[in-house]
Order: sequence, then structure tokens, then C-alpha cells
Amino acid sequence: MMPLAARTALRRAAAPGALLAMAVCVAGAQEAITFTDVERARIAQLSPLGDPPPDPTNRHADDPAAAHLGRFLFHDERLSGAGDVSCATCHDPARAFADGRARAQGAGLGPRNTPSLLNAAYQRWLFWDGRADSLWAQALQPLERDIEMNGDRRAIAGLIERDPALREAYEGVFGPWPGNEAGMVDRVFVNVAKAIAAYERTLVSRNSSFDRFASGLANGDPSAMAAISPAAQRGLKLFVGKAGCRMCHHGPLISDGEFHNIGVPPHPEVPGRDSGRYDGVRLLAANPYREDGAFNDADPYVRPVQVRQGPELWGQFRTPSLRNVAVTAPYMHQGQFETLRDVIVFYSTRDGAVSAGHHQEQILAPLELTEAEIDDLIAFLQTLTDTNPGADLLVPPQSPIFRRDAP
Amino acid sequence: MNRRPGAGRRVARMTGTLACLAAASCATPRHEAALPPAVTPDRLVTSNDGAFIIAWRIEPETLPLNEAFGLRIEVRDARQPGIPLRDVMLSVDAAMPEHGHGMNVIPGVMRDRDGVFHIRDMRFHMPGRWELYFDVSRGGVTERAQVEVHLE
Amino acid sequence: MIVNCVAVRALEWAMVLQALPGLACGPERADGPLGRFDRTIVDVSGPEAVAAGPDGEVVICETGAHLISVFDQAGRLLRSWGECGQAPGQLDSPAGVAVDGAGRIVVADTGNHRVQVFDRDGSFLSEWSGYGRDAGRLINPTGVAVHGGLIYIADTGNHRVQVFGADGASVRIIGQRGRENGQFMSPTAVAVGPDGRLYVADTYNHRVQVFDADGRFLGAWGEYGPFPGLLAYPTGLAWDGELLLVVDSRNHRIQAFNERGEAVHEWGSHALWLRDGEGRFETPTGIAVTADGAFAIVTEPLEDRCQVFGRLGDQTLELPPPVREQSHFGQRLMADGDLLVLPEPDLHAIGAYNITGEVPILIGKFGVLGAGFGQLLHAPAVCADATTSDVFVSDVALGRVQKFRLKRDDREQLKYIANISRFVKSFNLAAIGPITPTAITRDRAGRMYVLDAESCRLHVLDEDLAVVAAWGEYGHEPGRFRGPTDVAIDEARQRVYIVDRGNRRVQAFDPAGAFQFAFVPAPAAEGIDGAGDCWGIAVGPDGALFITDPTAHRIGVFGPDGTYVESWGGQGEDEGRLFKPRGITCGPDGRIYVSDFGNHRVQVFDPSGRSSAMLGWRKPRKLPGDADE
Repeated sequence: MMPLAARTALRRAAAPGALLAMAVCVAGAQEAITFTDVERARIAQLSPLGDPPPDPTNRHADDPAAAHLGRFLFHDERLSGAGDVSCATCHDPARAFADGRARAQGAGLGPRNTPSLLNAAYQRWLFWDGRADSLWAQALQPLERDIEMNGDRRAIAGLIERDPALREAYEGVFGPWPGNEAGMVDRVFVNVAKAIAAYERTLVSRNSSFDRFASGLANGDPSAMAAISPAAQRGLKLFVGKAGCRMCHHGPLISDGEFHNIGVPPHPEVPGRDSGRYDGVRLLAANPYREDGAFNDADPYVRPVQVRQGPELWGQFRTPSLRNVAVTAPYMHQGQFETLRDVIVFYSTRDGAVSAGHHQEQILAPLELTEAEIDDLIAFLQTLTDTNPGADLLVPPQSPIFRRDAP
Repeated sequence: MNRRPGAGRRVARMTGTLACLAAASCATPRHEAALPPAVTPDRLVTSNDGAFIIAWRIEPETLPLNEAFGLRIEVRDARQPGIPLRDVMLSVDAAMPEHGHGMNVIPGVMRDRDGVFHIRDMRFHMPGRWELYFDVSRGGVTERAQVEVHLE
Repeated sequence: MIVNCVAVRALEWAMVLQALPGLACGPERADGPLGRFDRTIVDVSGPEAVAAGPDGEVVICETGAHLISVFDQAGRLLRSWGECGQAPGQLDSPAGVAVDGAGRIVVADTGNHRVQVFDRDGSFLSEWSGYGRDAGRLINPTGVAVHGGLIYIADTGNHRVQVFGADGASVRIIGQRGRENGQFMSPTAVAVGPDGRLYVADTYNHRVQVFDADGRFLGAWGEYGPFPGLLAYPTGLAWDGELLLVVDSRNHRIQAFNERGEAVHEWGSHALWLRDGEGRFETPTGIAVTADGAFAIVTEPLEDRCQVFGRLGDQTLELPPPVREQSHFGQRLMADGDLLVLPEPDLHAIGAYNITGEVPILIGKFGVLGAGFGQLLHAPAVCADATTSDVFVSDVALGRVQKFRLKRDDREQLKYIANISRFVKSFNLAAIGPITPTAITRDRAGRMYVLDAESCRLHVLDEDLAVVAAWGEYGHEPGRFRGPTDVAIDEARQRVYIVDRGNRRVQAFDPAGAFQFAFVPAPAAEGIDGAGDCWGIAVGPDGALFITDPTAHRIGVFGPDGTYVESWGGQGEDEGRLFKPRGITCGPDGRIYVSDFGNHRVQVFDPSGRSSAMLGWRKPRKLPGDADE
């Protein structure tokens, strides 16, 4: 492996091959933007986004009753210590299930940016540092973390036990109330998280104008291809071409779900330095709610994959999905960049990039994009927006009890 | 359990310093692509100092991007390449040398009764040029065979 | 009714919830943490270690001059004793020191593989131990701590910690060579904490390990890297109240950890210029904190100085900027044909240069950090075969030699080749025995000559790992060695030369190991300082021998029989001058390439002794009026 002296900019030139000319007529535009075979193949990888992969660790993952209860709990501030914070406080349905802030503000100010929950079901790892490996294992942590919801599992179990609607809803999904068995508080707590996870699995966002364009490109349908502007199409060519975005932002989730250190400078107001995946792997190892732990509903003989651990993980953070990126500012793990332009300028110039040490991966060299290219890339990224997974999913139900005919 | 970021098309193109065991697989005419081959052919590579020949194939047949895959490997003596060697150990790794990183997961190696190695939990999480390494150890000496793989 | 809160799991869970970014908290002090640069103590020779004495005295091991020197708070030399030798009271490259409750000075007399005790004034009191692997014996001890009537020694060459009573009896042995918990790789410092636990700087494993009073492993923290909490060759330990200060030598900084191993504070950054100081470091090694906690003293043996730091009060120390691309050449290098190979240990990489012309041209770099095949953990020694484009790299931490093959471009020989090498083969020396491959060379028949400095032994191996010949053990007689540093082959004369540094001589053997002769690599004339110190050796095309002397900062030129011819170099930073030169090798046209280690460069001399080219990071000395970078 080359530690690195030649910082090679990975510039992907369009491969020679049969060009398929498609005349695109958009109102007012006369130019025809064509896509090479290689570009088409790469664009085809980005869409459509299929259904979320199954989560065998949560037997209620696709249970509508669990999702209904989860939707209720997601918005229920009584789960928090002071009764004033719910999941929706930071994962605000009106803000693409993020919060529009640099760093999360729950019961206290957090050290990192709130990720959007849209399409969270597709991620292999949860949190910026990947310290949880399932949606329900992630949901547990904010419930009890002091600066997030500052709740307590005993209090939550007590709440459900005493509230008739919650009790009935819980029993409708998870069976009779456990009573005074050993470990019952933990089991209720985990079930709460699994219900919330079931709800989060329904937050699927995959009908953006880009998806319509991609379908049109694959099927040779010019009217569908008109779903995105010529500028956005040029931006898309950059995205799968010389801008090299698809190195990490690939697949229909537009994220590899893995971890990279791209040298984003730390936020000046956050003390210390965030080690990211380095400590994330250790926290994953210490996490009792890991997929191979006691609360995993899946086949116990499925051996989990071993994750590589070492100092090269220092400062790595999870590649976010770029779906809905235009509406989930600010960007990066501490919200260091306010606008998409700031992000792209960072990739383009690498100004202010923090060195990652001698033994880190070295993927990025300055792209040196022109202003027009930056505009085009932004135009493309804006076509990835589809923030409404379904109007009824954005608000809590009247009652936590699932009735097939009721809202 | 591994979960992939979503269903996607998987395309792979492979090169390497090797000889095709079954010439038919290298040059299948397009119209015959619909017929499944009788035996999935192995690819061959000679180790870097010439001691071993590695016969290997990816399982499933095409290399997926950012999804788990496995390998089936036989290690043979370069002077007598008939049957798999049993007095050797094998370790498998991969890297993207231009990026300075390898895989994020640690593959598992298992050997069956016939001396064939089965590798599981490989995953190439990024497109680009990967090098795949087969390190064969016997006594205190380890020799590497390697192939280059381009993942789209 | 809710019962049964799982208390234990809740505790672990709290750790998972709380263990998130930000610096850990350490105990607050009104006068702030240490780190304010105060002054420099200069003109101390290669000081590897320091200890705090009573009344604010500072006890420094002047390792290069075989002295113990005591300074007062203001930096004035109060007294000094020691001379090079093996008799009681004499010292050989002492690299560890501690002061006990009664003010006695306990010294790790490294080159003599023993412990010596002196009273405050330097009068010899007692000594014990000597070279060996058994209980009670030591190899290259380099760290000392005294606590509760016991003396703890970092027994570096044995990769263990040995505990002695005040009478010199071996009380306990902790650990052995390895990378697991409770094992060590060249530990170089020990300290006992306020909690009575033993803390060990496990240097080549880049971590600190903690043991209880009975030697049972309790925990460890650290691994290789430049970030907070990561370490690169930790070599010194000192307690500042409840914080453990660790000399993070290749990160050129001091890190302070709390007892949970969390990084709390750091100071220091890499020198910007040659000989720079002012709070910036060049590979610091030792540290001590004065009894009143007012000052920390940090030693820099390469720079022949110590820097003193006070407390910051309410000043905040700006965290140094994140690591820039800095790299130093290693101490060893090797030329063959048109190829020069030169390790860069900070990058865990090897550079390959075309040396057809006067100036070496970099044609590629390879190597990556790791313990896997084809990776390097601590690989200071290399040799090359230009005919096959093979490079052999010995890894001291993993006890193996690895062979890489370089891609050469025949048409454009000076072109830089990305991805220049592929890993071919690994030779695991443990299959033969516990060998530390300190230096390596190769003959035309393809046999590897592996010099083990710890065991004082040379092994000749073929590529099937069969032992062709092996000779040497610790001692003074011909055919025995003390701290050998380098090996070179004269094919024409069928001779193997070994630099027997500890015995201040060079020995010559035939390829089967039969002793031929020995000589002292010093000029017959008087008047050249430090004559007789030797480190690296190269054989010229007509059998001439080129031997580096790091103490006189010279290259000595000798005939094939050891007759002195002339000297090149002399101390300095200019062209043609050297500072602590180490490895040396000869190109096919007689050009000499020397690792001018203290000047962080490689210098090329033509056969007449004229400096003809230089490679490497050589920031000139800061001139008056230069702005800080």
C-alpha cells in the first residue's frame, strides 16, 4: 500500500464506448446532455432504492402494530427524564427527521450533529461512529443519555405499566406484561426500542426527482428524464465522474455505510477531538445490545462479522446518505459546514483540511472544480430530496393502540 | 449479521496475471450467455516467487460492491499442480493501495476435508482497484500470490 | 411494581453512554498543568534519562559521555562522576536513573547490563547483575524506579521488568517478549504510581501497561498513532500528582493521562528547525518532575540537551496543529547496483532510490503499518539486490525478514513508480529461535546474514530458513561481542565484518564464522575526540572499510586489514559535516552514502571524501529575523 506521497486525484474520465445520444428538451434549454455507457451503469447503481433489508434481530421489525406503537412513543415526551424531550425533538419530522442545527440540543447540548432518520433502516451501522449495529440498539441510547432525553428504563417501564393505553398497546405487540421476572425492566426497555425501530423502518424516502430521472434514463423515457434540469444532469455526470463522489457515496442509499476520515476540521466550539469510529468500535464491543447479544431475536448461530479495529480508524465518521441532503444542513459530524456549497468547496479546495496522520487512508486530493461545476453539483444534490414518507407518518397517532381501521 | 445499504446492480470486471483454466469462460459469445456453464471455472495465479499456484473463484460468481462475498481457494505446488496441498496455511487479505486502506472486516478462513479453503465475510466497500492477496505459509516461510480486481 | 434494576449492566451501560468525545477530565490544579517552556540545560551528552533529586536537584544520565551529572534548580552543574568502563563505579552508556528516599542514586548501567547505586555525592555504593537471560541477569536495562524498598528495572533486551531488593536480589520477573497483555516489546521506562501500581512504558508496543504490586496485569492503554491518546514509542514516565506523564517520543510530545488511561493534556510539538527547542522537541526520551511539582525536565539525547517546563497557570496552551507530513530517515540504509534503499520509520515505509547519478532520485516508496504479511511494524534494517530488484526488510518487532520485489522501469529509470513493490515472501525467524534481526545483509549467493544485537550473535540463513552458520555470544574475547551494531561483507576477500561497538572494535570473520582478526577503528594519531566509537560499516570496491563514529561525528576510512587511512566529516551541519552519523553503505562506483542521523539527512561522499549530495529534511538553523512557521 502506498502511504503516500503522490496524492492522486481520482479523475474518472468517461470511458470510450458507444455513446447513446439522447436529446433532452427542457423548457428553454437547447443543449443535449448525453451519458456514456459507463455513466449509465453508474447512475443505474444509484436508483431505485429497494425495500429496507430485513432485520432479523428484531422480530417486530415489520409488524404494523409495533410501528404504530413506535410512532406514538417517538413523539411521547413522557419518556424523557424531565418530560420535555422526545425523539421528535431532535429528529423533527418537519425537518426531514433532523433538526437543522449544527449540534443536537436535547436535555443538553450534544457534541455531534443530528443525523436524519429517513432511510436509517438501510444503514449497516448507526451513529456517526457506528457504535450501534441495529436501529433498536441505537434507539436505546438517547433514551438514557443525560444530554439527550435523560430518561431511565425503570421509569419508562413504570410509565407503560401504569398508562392503560400504553399498556394495552404494549401487550398487543409484545404479549402479556412481564410482571416481576428477572430482567423484565431490560426486556421492556428493549421492546420499547424495537417498537420505535419498527416505526423508523417505515421512514423510507425514495421518490425524488432524481429517481424519476434515473428511471427515465434506464427506460429511454425523455419526459421522465426531464424531471431534473440540465444543470442537475451535468452535476450528476460530475458526481459519477471526475468529482469522484461515488467512491464513498455509492449504491441506492448513496452511502457505503462505512467510515472515512476526510480531514474535516473540528468545530471550534467543541472541546477536545472526536475520535469517531476509533472509539465507536470499542463502544460497539462493549455494547450489550449488539446483534449477537442477549436481546437479538435472530438465529443465535449466525456468526457476526468481525470488524477491523486499529488506529487508522481515528477520526473516521460514517458516510451519510445524500438522499435529502439539501434539506439536512448543517453538514458533517459536528455541523461544521452550513451549506452544501461550503461542503463542495471543501472537497474542491481541501482548504482547512486536517491531516489524518501518516497511516490513514488517503483518498482525497483537491478537485479544483469551477464555479459552474460547483453550481451543477449543488443542483444535482438538490434533486435527491423526498422528505415525505407519508403524511400520517409525520405525526403521532391519537392512540398507541393499533387498530387496522383507525389512524 | 451483515446488512447491505440497499439492493443495487453489481458489476465487476477482473484482470490479473493469470491463465484461464477454461478458455470458454473468458470468451463466451454473447448469445450463449444464457446457458449456465457446467462447472464454474477457477482462475489461476502463480505466487510471487513461483512456488505455488492458487486456483480461486469468487462465490457468488460476480464480485458485489459493498456486500459480503466468499472465495473458494485451492493451493497447489507449482511443480505438481494436480491436487490441493494440505501442509500449508492460508491467509487472505485485500487492499486498495492507491487509497492506503484495506477491508473494514476480517474474513474467516476454513479448510474442508479435501484441503480446499473457503473464505467468508470478504467485503469490498468501495469501487476502484483492489488487490487480493493469498498468503501461503509452510514452515517459517510465507509466500504471496496476488491478483488485481477492478470493481465498478 | 417494578423491581430488579440490573445494576451491573447499568454501570457498563453508563460507560457506553458517557464515553463520547472530548478530552477527559484530570484533577484541577490552581497553578495549572505543566507545559510552559522555561529554559534549556545544554551541553549534556546524549542524555537518555533524568531523575529528580532532593532539594530540587536534577540528576541527568549523560549517556553519551558515560557520566551522571547533578544540576541545581537554576541549571548550574553541581557535580558529575563516571567514566567509561566496566569496573565498579565506571559506567557504559547508562540510560536509566532514579533517586531513592535517602537520596541515593540508582543507575541502569545499560552497556554493562547491570544496576549501580551511588550516594548523593557520587561515591560508589553497590552494583549487581550482568548480561544474561536468567533471573537476576539483565540485557540493556534502560529504566529505573524505586519504591517501597524495591528497585524496578525495565529489562529492555529481555523484554520484561525485573524487580530487585535493595540488596540486589531478584525478587520478581514480570512479563516476557510479546504483544499480548502482560507481554512487552523493549520496555524502556517504569514508574510506580501513587496507588502503588506499576506502570510500564511498553515502547515497541506503543502502550502503557499497569500491574499490581504482585505483578499481575491490570490493564493497558495506547496504540500507535499521532492522535490524542495514541502513542509512538513511549519512552519515559513520571508522575505529576495523579497524572502520569508519558514521553511520546516519536510524536515529539508529552502526554498526560489519568489513572484510567484517558488522555487529559499534552504539550510539545516537533522541532521546526535543526537544533530548534523553545518547547519543541526532537525525539525526547526521558522525563522527571521535581518533588514540589514545579517543573518537569525532558531529555533529548539527539540534541544533547534537556528542556525544563513550568506550570501554565491559567494560560491555555494551544494544542499543536494536527500532524503535518514529517518524516525522518532511519538509521540504516543499503546500496546495491543502481539501487539505494532507505527506511522511513515514521511512515513505516521504505524508499527506493536510483543512484546512477550523483544525486539519489526517489523512484518509489512502499510499506504500510501493520503486523500482517507484507506490512511493517518496526523495520529499521534493509538490504537490496539490484539484479533481482529484491529488497529485504527485517522487522525487529515481529522477528521476521520480508522480501519485496520492486518494479523497475527499464526505459525510464528515473521515473517515479507508484505501487513500486509487491510483497513476495516472509521469513519467520521464530522458526529457528528467538532472533531479533537488528541488522541484515546478503551475499551474492543469496544467503542472509542476520545480526542479533541482543543475543550478540550472527546467523547466516538461506531462503529455506536453513541455518548455514551461526556464531557469537556476549563477551570480550575474539569471536564474542558486546552490543554489535552492524555487519558487512567483502565478497572478494570472503570476509564478514562485524562492528562490535560495546568492545570498541571491529571483528573480521570468514563466512563460516572463523575469527580472522580485530582492530580498533581509530586513527593512530591523538587529538580526535571520542575516537574508537563505531556504529556502521561499509565495504568499498577495493576492500576499504568505511566506519561511522557517532561520537566524533566522523567517517573513518581504513584498509581491508584495519589500517587507518583518513577521516571525513567532523561535527557540524554544513555540507561535508556530520552529526551523530549511523548507518553507511557503498555504491558500486565507490560513492559512500551515510545516514547523517543527527542532521536528519543522508549525505553522499565521493571516493575522495568530498560531500557530493544530500537527501532529506534539512531545515536550516533559524536565523535572526526568521518568523516562526
